[in-house]
Amino acid sequence: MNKKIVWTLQIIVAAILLPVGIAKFIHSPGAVYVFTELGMEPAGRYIIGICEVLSGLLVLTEAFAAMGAFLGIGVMIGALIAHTTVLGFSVQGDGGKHIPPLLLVLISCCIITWIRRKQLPFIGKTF
Amino acid sequence: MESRLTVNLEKMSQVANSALYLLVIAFFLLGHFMSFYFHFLTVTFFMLTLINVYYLYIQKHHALLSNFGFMAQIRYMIESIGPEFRQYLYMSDTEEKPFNRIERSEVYRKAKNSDSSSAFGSLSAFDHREIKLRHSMFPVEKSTLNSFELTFAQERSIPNVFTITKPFMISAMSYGALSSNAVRALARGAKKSNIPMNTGEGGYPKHHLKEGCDLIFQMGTAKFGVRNEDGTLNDAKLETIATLPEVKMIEIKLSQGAKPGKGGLLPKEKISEEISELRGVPMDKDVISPPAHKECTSPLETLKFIRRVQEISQLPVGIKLCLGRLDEFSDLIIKMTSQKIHPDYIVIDGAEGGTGAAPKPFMDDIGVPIFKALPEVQKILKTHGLRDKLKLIASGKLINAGKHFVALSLGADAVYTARGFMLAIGCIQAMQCNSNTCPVGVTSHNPKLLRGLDINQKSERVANYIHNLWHDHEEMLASMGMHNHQELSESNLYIPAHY
Ligand SMILES: Cc1cc2nc3c(=O)[nH]c(=O)nc-3n(C[C@H](O)[C@H](O)[C@H](O)COP(=O)(O)O)c2cc1C
Repeated sequence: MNKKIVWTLQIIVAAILLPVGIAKFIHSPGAVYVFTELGMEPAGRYIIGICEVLSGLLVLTEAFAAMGAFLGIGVMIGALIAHTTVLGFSVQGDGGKHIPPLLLVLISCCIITWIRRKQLPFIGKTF
Repeated sequence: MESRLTVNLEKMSQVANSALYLLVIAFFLLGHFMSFYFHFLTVTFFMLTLINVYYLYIQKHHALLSNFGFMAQIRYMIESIGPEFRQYLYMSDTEEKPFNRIERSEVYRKAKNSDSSSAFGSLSAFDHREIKLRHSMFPVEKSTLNSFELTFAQERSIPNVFTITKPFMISAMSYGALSSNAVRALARGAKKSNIPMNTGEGGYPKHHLKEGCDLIFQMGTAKFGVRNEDGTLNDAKLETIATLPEVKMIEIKLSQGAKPGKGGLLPKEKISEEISELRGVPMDKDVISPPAHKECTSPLETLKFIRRVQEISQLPVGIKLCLGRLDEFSDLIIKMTSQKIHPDYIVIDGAEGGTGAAPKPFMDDIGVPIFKALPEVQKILKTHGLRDKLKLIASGKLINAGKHFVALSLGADAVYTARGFMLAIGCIQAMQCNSNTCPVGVTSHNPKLLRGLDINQKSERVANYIHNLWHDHEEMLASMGMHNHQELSESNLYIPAHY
């Protein structure tokens, strides 16, 4: 039961994170705009891109899904900070369409991490 | 007024726990006003804080974590590497158990063939509690020593007697307790030095046979490798093993010093296809090693069983036991005399003996230590006229020539050591034989850890250890004014009055 839920969530997370991660590498104008606003062009864009792709790939494995989701939480919190402090919810007048997927990934990652908490390296056994 | 400064760990952890919240805020502000890159730290510390909140307010298992948060984890982390630190830095050379650093490094030096002389003085305790050897005023020339020979089953005049040419052998350690590489390194070393190796109770000696050394096949109480499904002896399987040219003797294990009177359980998770095949057990069931052989319900039945094994195998057959109740042992010996059935050798394993895994009370508190057991056994055998009908082997931390000589003087004809040879192939006494994590691959089956145990290299160490032990034997024998090991007797010993 748990297994089905957790895998569904993992696939959702990967389906969202992999495209946005890859978009950061192919200089998608949206991403370039966002990272220019944040003052992190281009290094920050690549770092976050790597994190997103890595997280998206790890959640597709049985052994490292917890690690991937944990990383996903970190990236999503960072994104939330960016939206609340710098970008605002609506970016370039898109009416805030980034926000629901962002929250979906964040919540999914939290659930995945919790269900799979024992698999976290090093600290996993303490939960 | 208190004028001394002290370290208050409790205060420190409170400060650390509050600092975590403050750091999140600080990094957030830096991220907001200086550079967005600071938010990497904001996020990291935020997540650390979440974990800390879990430790402090949610989990209820550990009081230390509830009271001190992540700082308590630091304590646990440092504590977890305590054994290594103590062994590397703080433990004195004479402190460690079961073998202290002096004892271990003597074996290492022998195995690596490095200089064995020491300077200034002995590091062992001269507190008049240890047995010492008495030397002679008239040492003999080493060249006049006679070679050593001990023939098993000579007294029964069977065709397949077995002769050893050094008074020490590799004691029982099963494949299972030992890794395949360890077994092969030991077997190859034994082959190089022409001493026999005991297979332990691990069933069919597949890995031992690859090296072609002389083998003593051990039959444990579960009779792995020679059992019927119900744990009784399968004659045909025993016969097959006994006819292998490498197998020179059969040893029936009645008990073992580290866990006398205790069986064991082989959980089904540990039964790999190979283990199932070698041991002759199904893969889908836990297998119980009973505390005693099914056939051996009384002294008479035990003797009948020994006779049966002698007849099937047509080889010298010994028994291994840790001395427990004297009345029972006497009774067994008396029956041997009256029934005219006796094993060809008896191994007395001291309570200090080692094991791959055993319950602590059995390791610590049950059984008679070897130097106490030997004189008692010797006396009973002599009283009942059996001493010259069989051979006596001793084991229990006999890892250097001095200890060998004490055992031989107390009546043993030869000695066995298990852990001496483990040390020779690189055991660092990490005390993890039961957890598949042995860092030097001696008892681990994890291929990553096995890698480090190079069979050829370590077999050379085994051969060196044997060679250098034998060197010490000759030197000591000569200094005691003797030409044969058989001349050793209790009169060569200084035994403290309260030993
Ligand atoms: C890892 C390990 C495995 C052992 N396996 C067996 C065994 O299968 N059968 C047995 O009779 N004794 C077994 N023993 C006990 C030894 O054969 C020996 O009797 C005991 O360790 C005393 O010798 P030592 O002090 O020189 O090691 C084992 C000991 C060790 C350390």
